[in-house]
Amino acid sequence: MMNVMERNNVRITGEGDNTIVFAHGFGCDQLVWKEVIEEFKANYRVVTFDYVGSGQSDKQAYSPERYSSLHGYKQDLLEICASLEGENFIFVGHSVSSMIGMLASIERPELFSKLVMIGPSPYYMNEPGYRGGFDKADISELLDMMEVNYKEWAKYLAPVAMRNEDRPELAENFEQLLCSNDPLIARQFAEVTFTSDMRSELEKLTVPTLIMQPQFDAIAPLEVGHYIHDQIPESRLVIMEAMGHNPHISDAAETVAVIKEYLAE
Amino acid sequence: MEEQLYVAPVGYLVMDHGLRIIEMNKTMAEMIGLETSPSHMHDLLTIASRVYFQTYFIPSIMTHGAVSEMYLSLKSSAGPVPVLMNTRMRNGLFQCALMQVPIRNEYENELLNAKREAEQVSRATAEANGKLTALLGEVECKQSELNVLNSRLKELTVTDVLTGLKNRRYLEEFLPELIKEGQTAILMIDIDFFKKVNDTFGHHAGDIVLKSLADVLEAAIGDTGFAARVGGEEFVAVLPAVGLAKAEELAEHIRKRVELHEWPYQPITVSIGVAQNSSGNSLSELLQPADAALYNSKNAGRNRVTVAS
Repeated sequence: MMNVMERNNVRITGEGDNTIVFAHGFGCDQLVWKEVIEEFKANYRVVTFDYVGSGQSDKQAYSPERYSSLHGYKQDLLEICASLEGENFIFVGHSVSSMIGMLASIERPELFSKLVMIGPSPYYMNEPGYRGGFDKADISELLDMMEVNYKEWAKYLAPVAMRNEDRPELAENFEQLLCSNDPLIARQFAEVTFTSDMRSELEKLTVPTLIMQPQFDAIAPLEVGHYIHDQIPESRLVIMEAMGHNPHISDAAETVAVIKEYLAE
Repeated sequence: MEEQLYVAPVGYLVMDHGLRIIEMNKTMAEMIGLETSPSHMHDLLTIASRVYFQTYFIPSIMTHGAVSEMYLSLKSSAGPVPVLMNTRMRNGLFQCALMQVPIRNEYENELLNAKREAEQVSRATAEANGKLTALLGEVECKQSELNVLNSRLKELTVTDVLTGLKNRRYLEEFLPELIKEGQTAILMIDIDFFKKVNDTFGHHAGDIVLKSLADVLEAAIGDTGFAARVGGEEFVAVLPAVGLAKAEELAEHIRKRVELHEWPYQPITVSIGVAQNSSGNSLSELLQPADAALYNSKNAGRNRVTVAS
């Protein structure tokens, strides 16, 4: 049996009867939750992790086959939940993680009591009658841009790690972080994220869901937030004051407040 | 804004936390060439740039207070403008310098394309290699099959079909070598009055007698050597490393076993000639001394053994 806790760099903090699992989106890792989780530690058991291929996960565990669809990432999440033991988890997912959490809860509804989606989108491509926000050319331009900028965001990730006293080992492994697999993994994660069509799954979701829609979100536009709200039977849509696709980083206080209000019900 | 900064040869803009643009210099405005001044950073960016920017800018600037060399593509009235952007956080605002890099961008694209082509070539090479290796494996497999078939075929060409003994061809090929290797005794064995069996009982009966004789010879010779059929009713026993006296003994043993064997149609006997250390190049030369001895046995009344003088 593989060690999921190590593979996905699972971190457990805080104390409480209920467990919140925070799941990062494409292009980052669990560090994005740093500020937000501080506010939950007093009352909840707080779980953060890195998907295989992201952050400090075990990159050896990455396989292009398994992670060629969101179901591979869903499998990560289900395996983490199995390792944690228990049910009725509260799941908070950013961006593509919203859809990963949704897939997991469709497969195992009893595992989750509530879902929180931050800036979700079930499909990023434009189609007649649906505006996901992107055309094929946009996606390929994005992939090129990632390639050109690769060194830059690799550098961004590394010093983050260096500053983090929890993970001093990373400074030494700076070179490893730049290992040749990373750009390929990031590229495939981007392709999977931007080309997965989850629209037909939305109505299968039975777990109560909060949709947090920031303003001026270039990745998940407002009308997509409304679309999801219409499709998920038991959902609530909150339009945030925060702007951009990363409210949990740029506006942690509002993000925390909205989640807490929803959980208090 | 100071005059110098306003016209500096680099785009400069300041935005707040919400990425709303507070001010920009003249160079920046000219770079994008838009008529109305954009109010939000997103208005400056192509769709892909917006996604990239939202994914990496905020996380990076919030962690480090700075972003360096971020490659972005700006919308402008004249089409997309590639830029590199540096940003510093100061007094809660983001100060950004944007440098146009159209020429560098061309190089970069060429490099990227070259890299992709190289990757493509290397993938194709690896694939071709894989195929070659598979083919090589197949060839090796076929080769070993062929070897098995060949040796089977070879076996067939040196085997007498009727009796299963070695045939004349085998002796032609190997007897000279055997004789060169050391002392080798040779027995020439001929069935007495075999023609009568064929004439009286038919060729089928003759074949049965030949087969039975082959069995008797093999049983009698055992590990001492081997028997071959060299003609119609003519057999040869080759006995490597066997002296003349011992060979004569074995010949006598064979003669007796044949005489005592229970033959189906009529009693059968053999005449035998024994010789050793014959010399020569052709098979008939090598067999000649034993053949001469056999002739003597026939002349002396058959069913007997003669040793070459």
